[in-house]
Amino acid sequence: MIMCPSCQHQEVEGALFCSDCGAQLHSDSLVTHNIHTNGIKSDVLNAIPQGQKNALATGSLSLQLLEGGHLLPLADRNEFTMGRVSDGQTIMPDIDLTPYQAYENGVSRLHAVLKKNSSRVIIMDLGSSNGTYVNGVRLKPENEYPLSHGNIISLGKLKIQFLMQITE
Amino acid sequence: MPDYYALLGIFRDATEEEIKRAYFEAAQRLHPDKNEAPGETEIFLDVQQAYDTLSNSEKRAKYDKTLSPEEQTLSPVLQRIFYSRESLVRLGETQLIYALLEWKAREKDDEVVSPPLNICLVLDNSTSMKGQNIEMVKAAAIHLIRSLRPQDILSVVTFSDRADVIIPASLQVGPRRMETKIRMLIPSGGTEILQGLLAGLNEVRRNLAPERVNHIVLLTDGQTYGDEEECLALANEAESLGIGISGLGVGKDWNDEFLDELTEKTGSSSRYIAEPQEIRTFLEEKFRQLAKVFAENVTLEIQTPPQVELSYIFRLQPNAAHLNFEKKIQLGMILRDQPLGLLLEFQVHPDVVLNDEAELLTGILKFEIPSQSSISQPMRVRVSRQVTDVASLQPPSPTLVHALANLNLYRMQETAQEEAAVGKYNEASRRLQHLATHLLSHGERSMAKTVLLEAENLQKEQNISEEGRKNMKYGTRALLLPAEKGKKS
Repeated sequence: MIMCPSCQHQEVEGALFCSDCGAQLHSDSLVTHNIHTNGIKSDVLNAIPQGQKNALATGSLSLQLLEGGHLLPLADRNEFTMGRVSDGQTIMPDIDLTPYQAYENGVSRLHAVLKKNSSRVIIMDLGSSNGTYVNGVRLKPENEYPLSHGNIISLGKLKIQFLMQITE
Repeated sequence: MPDYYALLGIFRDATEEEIKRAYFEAAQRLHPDKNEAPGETEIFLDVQQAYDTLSNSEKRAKYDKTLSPEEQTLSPVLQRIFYSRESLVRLGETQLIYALLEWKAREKDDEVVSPPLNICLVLDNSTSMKGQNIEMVKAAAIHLIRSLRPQDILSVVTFSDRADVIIPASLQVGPRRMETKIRMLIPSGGTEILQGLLAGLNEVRRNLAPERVNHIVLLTDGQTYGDEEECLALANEAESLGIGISGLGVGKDWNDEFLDELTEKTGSSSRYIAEPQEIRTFLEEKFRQLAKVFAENVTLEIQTPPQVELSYIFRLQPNAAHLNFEKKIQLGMILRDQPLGLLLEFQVHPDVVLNDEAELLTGILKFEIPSQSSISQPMRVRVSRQVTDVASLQPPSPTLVHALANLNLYRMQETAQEEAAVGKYNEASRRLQHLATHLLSHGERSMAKTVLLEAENLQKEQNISEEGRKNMKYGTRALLLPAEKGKKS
């Protein structure tokens, strides 16, 4: 059996693409090995593929707006709040989405936060009015969710893709 | 004495079973009760003579001695097979392997004469075509008429509730008169595709000849009601005559599954024209393709050993389509400048990998080459792999991985649509989200947006829009075409 590196779906030997999420299965994972799920199940599910760890150590993170394609680099910090700016606001978001029709798309002033640590990047909704979605699934407010490369984040109706670039 | 083997379209080492099958097939096709074409009765008698001789082992041996040794003529078609893996592994569980089969013309593109065309354009002239659609069709048809060579035959049939032969199939019609007749079209009435196809088939049959490219191009913007079964039966008839049918659907209201099934029977496919402005581009592309035919009526008879499951067949080019298949598949045409590519997915069960070599498929490829008058020798196809104890680390063929990567996108939307059809809206929506991610990484922005929108529709309204459905299906299919790839890079 082969395990898909991005969704852990099991595929038969010889498959080149995951039949569940469509990710390409790496050729070095084509070697057959038995997966023992007893006892270590939770570890397997929380494990982060090797490639992602490297990305965090050496690569850069960015957000790309689906509409218009603007790229917003995430650098120099480990925490970023996202939202829009309006008059008389006391706490400003780190990433201001006002220029990208944030208001029309229903983005709250402090909508969500991204945090990165050595092993992963998480997203948390800050109790926004219109909600935060990752790949179409609505997040519970004030709960942390891990992000992976290519995930599509929706703040209200504003769609942003999360990118991890691996610099080698 | 005629070459009995060539007559039956079999190899000289054909088994008794193969001889019998070939005879029955030929007899059915040529029986005097059904076939009135001049000369066919004589062929039928020859076929009977051939079977009489070859089915008797004594007579066959005697006949074989009279044959000159088989000339080592090169087949006009070249075959290549790519595999996703160097070898199969000796495993106690089912494993997957992909094979990409390619056939192309041996001769160079410019060394072959284009065969003369015998095409009927079957145009939807129902009320819904009014306005921009019909005007664009008229402009495109007139342009095509002007580009015809003297040896080409183009007939035009329009249909609504009934069919009208606007331009009959003949070499004598002056282009001026043809243009005037096209300009006078006024849409009215419903959409009955059967009427149009019947009239179209009739026109093509008048000049039916093996040295021509015999084809019907059907253009419609609506659904046909109640005559689907008869249309499909007609497509079978067209196939047996060597006439291809291609479909072009305009707008969102036509039935793509029906048009796919119809055209697939003759080895072609349907295409989606989203905007009226694109009608001319698509029609011209179709005609360009037909003028580039090298071989047609390409069929593949397949046999797979037990325990090997051929689970998916997709024709990558020309005319990308997911093929349904039984023992014999009509593959359509090989173009002069583009190979016929067929991607196969095999599920291999443990019993197959006990020996050192595993046979996955044997087949016979037959084809007709309009520019060559003699009967073409069929070609044997054999898909097999070595079996090893450890998996080979050799990466799969890049050609195949590239094809499979694009096919993967098509299959994702195909699966999502199947899931949505049986009410699994969440699964379907999630799959489309994944698809959008992959499309973005391929640089297909606008299609990714369409897919995301439909994923959202699924969640909110448990529905995929008709337009989105066609956009996704034909959009991902277009990614497989080499022309589209060229445009992007």
